[in-house]
Amino acid sequence: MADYVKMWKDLGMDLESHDMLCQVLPTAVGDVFLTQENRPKAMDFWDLVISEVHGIRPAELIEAQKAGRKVFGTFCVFVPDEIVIALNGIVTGLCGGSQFWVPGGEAVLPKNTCPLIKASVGARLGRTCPFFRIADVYVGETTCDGKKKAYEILGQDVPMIIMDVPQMKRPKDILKWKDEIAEFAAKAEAITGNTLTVENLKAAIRTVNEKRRAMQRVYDARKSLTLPISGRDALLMTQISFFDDPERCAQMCNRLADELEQRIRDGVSVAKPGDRRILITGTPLAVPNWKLHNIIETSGAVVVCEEMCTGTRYFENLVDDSGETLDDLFMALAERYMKNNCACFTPNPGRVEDIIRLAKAYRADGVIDCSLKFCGLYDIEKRTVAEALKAEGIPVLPLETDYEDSDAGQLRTRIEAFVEMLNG
Amino acid sequence: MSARFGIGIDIGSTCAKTVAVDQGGNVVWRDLRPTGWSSVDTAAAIRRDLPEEIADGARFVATGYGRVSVPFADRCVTEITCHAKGAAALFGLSDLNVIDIGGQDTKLIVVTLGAVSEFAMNDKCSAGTGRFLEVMANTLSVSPAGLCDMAGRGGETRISSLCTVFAESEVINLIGRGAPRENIAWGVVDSVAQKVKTQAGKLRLGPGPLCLTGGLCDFPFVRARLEAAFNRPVRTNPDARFAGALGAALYALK
Amino acid sequence: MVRYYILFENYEQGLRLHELLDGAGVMNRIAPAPAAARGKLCCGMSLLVEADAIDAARDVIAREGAAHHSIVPMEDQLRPKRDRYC
Repeated sequence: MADYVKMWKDLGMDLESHDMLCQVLPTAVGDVFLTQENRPKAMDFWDLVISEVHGIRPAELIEAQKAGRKVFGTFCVFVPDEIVIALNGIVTGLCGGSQFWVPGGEAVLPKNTCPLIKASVGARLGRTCPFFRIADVYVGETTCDGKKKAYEILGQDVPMIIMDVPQMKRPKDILKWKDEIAEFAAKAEAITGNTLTVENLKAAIRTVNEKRRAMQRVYDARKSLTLPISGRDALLMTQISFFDDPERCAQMCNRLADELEQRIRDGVSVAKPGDRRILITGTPLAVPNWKLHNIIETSGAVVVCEEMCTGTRYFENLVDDSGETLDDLFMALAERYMKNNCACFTPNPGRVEDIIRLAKAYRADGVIDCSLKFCGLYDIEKRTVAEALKAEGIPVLPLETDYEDSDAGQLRTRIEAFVEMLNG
Repeated sequence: MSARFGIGIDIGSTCAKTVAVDQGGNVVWRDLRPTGWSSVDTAAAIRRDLPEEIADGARFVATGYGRVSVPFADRCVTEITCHAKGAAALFGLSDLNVIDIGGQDTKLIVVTLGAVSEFAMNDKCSAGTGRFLEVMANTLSVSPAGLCDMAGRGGETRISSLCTVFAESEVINLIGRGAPRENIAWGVVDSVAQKVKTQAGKLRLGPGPLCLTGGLCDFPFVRARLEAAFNRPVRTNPDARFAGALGAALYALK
Repeated sequence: MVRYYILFENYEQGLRLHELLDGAGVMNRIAPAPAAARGKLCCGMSLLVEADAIDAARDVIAREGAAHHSIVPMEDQLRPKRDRYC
């Protein structure tokens, strides 16, 4: 096996700081995941991945790099993985879900920046995340002002490609996004030294579609009133899917879905009688951010769906692979990615429609709309979301939090009170 | 089978309130004491002081931020749910909007047909809470009660900062400029009312009246500024600081 | 409550024992090795075994000669409402 310490050293990581992170992770994983009873057996895979989160996959990536493949680090679900995969490159998510990295980010960013951005910058500059060290290039996108400016800082330290995500969804915006994808493809060709063809792009589209279908199958199982998997476990699956090989990810998700479907047939539920079903919507929950799910699921409720980038926004909508030219396929990609209803768009009626549709499909008793502190986009949109849900008669609890533990008590009070309210 | 007595213990950040009710919901015993450093010790002391004829065979519900520190409680219910129930009973209403200004947090609860239909709580920031008032009272070298009294004699003064830390430096500035303490006190109380009003903007208030509960209910000027901020009458009740404990006691009966 | 963590030199060892234990019907779960137990070991994974299953797990290890580093008892490791995240 790989000697991780040597690997981390070779990556130029700050081993002492990294060790502090390794100290806290087992406690959180134990409390959040291993206190659960009757988990699906297939979660073994994700338990292994999270136990070895900075070991197994980074070692694989380094091996692939030795074979000449390039690793693209991404921050956002707008970056089309298909392009990179078609060019025999590898896409990996980048860490950004821990308070551990926030102080490092605050050293160079204003305090009132969202914790996801502060953590990402801190993880890179503090040299405590192997994925940030391994990536040959980062691909950023213009989904918020904080990221746009943070990329300028990261760009001084690592090569960056920025994709300009449109702010509206008019036909001309979709065409503009198609051009962005084509331009990104050209840059990715230069980086990988490979050439994009209709064949390899179609194959990549099918690979990623397969992964999306597999994740959707797991989520579909959560629609059942016999709830076969906890929200925590489903979230972990989704979080890890950003880092894993897409084919293995599809295989593991399908294996999990097989078991979940069997559990539904066998009447095996992880929810206790009377547990309330909650849909969460809002800003992403990057690994290892499990606070919200854990609090909800230890307060008489279960999370049945995440309308989030670490949730349905990641895998809903497939890419049409029937195009005969690269231009057709770029257009198909543009159309699929522009279906994402991120709060960065104005107006953004699609998100409210999604939340209502998903709340009904997953039979949610209530919705928790939670944004990370200092995310103006999602925070402002809360009002629109709340009004639409109230009009539908769906109770909603708006929350705001960051990566610190210190507000856990206040979150518990609000969430317990919300559950008491749902219980009537 | 229901218990002979229901006992509600509301461990707030500043004070611990206890109410015991009989099966008819009549208050038969109550207690108010500072929470002190240890919620667990406070809860144990309350248990010791409870008359045995009430405690014997009673059911206990704990609420408030220290609700998990009451080992002998049969159940924990959040202060939001308890305040709603307690206020509905105190004011004899099933539709009302509760404003509870507590030591550490401020809650707005819309009660419809006797049940919580919506609520909002301040976030980590203590502006608009009893804590804010306490900090400002310290700065002015008076007690919180003294500050509220003084405020009634003051003239209109605005403190614009919604953050306790910044507001404190604003107050220090006002002191430096020789503003009368009464005026500053006026501004402090008004800023609490304004903050509560802002928080209410996120809710759809129900048709019932506004009812003030929590530790500030005894201060007429707080109520007056809230009425001005909401442009609606605000009711209160001398027992309103026991609303959470009363609600908990009533839940204990169930 | 005491639980046992079986530690390994590497995850391949860990997965092998995991399969052996599963095969023998001994309840065990993959868990990140608690920092206090791990010491200088670099392997992140361990197998978590409840007290009532540890003797059966030891039997399987002995019978199969399964490679592992050590078995460490730990008290009160799992607390769902501790609210210490990372």
